[in-house]
Amino acid sequence: MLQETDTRRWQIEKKLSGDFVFKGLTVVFAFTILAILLLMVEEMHRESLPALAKFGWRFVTGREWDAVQSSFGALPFIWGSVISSVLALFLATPLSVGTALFITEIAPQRFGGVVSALVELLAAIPSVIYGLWGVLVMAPWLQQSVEPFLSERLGFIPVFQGTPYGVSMLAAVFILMIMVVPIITAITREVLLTVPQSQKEAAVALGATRWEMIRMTVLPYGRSGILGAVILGLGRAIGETMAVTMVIGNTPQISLSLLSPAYTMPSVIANEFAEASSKLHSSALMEIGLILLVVTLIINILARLLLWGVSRQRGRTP
Amino acid sequence: MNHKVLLYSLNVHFGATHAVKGVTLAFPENSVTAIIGPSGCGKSTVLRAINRMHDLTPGARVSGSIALDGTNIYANNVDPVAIRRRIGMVFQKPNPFPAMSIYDNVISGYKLNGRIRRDDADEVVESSLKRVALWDEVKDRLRANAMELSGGQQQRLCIARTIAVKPEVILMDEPCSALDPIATMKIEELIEELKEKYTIIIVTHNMQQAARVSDVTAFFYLGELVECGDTPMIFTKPEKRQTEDYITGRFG
Repeated sequence: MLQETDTRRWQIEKKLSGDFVFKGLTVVFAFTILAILLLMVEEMHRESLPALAKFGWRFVTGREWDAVQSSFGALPFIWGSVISSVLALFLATPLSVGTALFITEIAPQRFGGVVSALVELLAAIPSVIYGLWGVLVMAPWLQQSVEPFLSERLGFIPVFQGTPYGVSMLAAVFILMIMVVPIITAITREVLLTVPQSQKEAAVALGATRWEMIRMTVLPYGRSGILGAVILGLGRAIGETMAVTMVIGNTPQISLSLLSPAYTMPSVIANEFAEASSKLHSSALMEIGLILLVVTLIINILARLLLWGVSRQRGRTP
Repeated sequence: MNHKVLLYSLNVHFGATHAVKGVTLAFPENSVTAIIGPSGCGKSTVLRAINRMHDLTPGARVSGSIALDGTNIYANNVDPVAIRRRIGMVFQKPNPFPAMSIYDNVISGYKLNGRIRRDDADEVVESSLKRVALWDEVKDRLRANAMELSGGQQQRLCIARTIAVKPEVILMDEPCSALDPIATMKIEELIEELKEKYTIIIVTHNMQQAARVSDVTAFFYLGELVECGDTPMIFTKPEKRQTEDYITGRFG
């Protein structure tokens, strides 16, 4: 009797069940994504072969970008992308962490929810609108008030030297800052919500003020998660195309001054792909795309690793 | 005996819930008072009112008064932070700071009082750990992460962290409920020693524990104080029927 039931159960498992089909489908989907990524890298690599062959490492170190002379060096774009993103992150991080702390620790629950929703709404605004606002409102304001002030008062520092153009590295930094704040704030908020109440109570019971409690428990507990959020923000900033293109001035030069125009990797691709007539030109753009992709991938992997570190640390605490 | 802490018609509400109803109760100095009662009787809520932990809970409302050495800690001009430095608390689950070493955990509260000299810090750490009988177990690895300790060691570390601040009263919220019997025994021995210097108020689920460690026992039921008296009296000749039913295990 018992044996009979056992056999029957075993037979059910052998049949082609919905479970099996479902499993197969998910595997196919998952590997499709992977295949798309690999194909894209391969394709970009193949397309950029002419530039790779002609310039080699000089492509990365070259400062000249001249389509007429067919001389291509990507350094100004790498410089522009890295500097604008890093500076934007530098400004956005304290702003975002402060906002997230306000939402989770300081504000009354309902008000915090409203602030949080509004901040996340910022992420939903299309980047072209940021760009439009940047070029029509912010850039003139920078040109007329902020930049003249900086170059007059702080002009002795090379960073603030030069003619105020409005459209400039500074404008790109500000636009990117506004655009990454919602992402960093949202993720930081999630991270801060994972800080156990018992930790906060421990600090408060020792006679910590609210700020001391945050410093003793919330920030150390969320440290690597916040770092992960910042790096995801960096990924977003470095890939941002439209808004930056509209405000950065699109001049392939390496200038220490924040007041001068610059250029970024995504911007040059967006601006020139249509008019790239020669094979070498389009292949140079492809290679810039490849560099951008690799940089972005590395940043995202770093962020994943850090966030993974947080969840492991969380598992370790009682 | 002196009354260190005095609750006077204390009420605690959480939104519409009336969790603690008009409790008046005195806690004698340098002794151990146990608060017992079935789950949900408001015993932890009373305890957490004594160091104003309900300030952190949205929707919690405390009325009545709690006097510490005759001063109402709920008066408008009283800083809750200053109160919590005088009234320490040990929680149900050991909650050392996971990002800190053993050493830093012990000194964490003490540091809040301002800049301290290196020598002072060493001395505070050593004396606090010795008081909780943890020094010999950890003196060679003070820089190790606090999470490497066992549950019982972590709880003693949390007590060391609490007494490093030099409080006058120590609140303990079921401090042994997450520990094994041997670790529990160590904590109970420690409570016995600590009462020489501190006033201890302990909430416990375990009636044997209350009988073993406390001098005075208060029995709570449904948010009200049913009976309070010397521990031997409560456990042998309680005045109220409910108390007797509870300690003889007829309910709860």
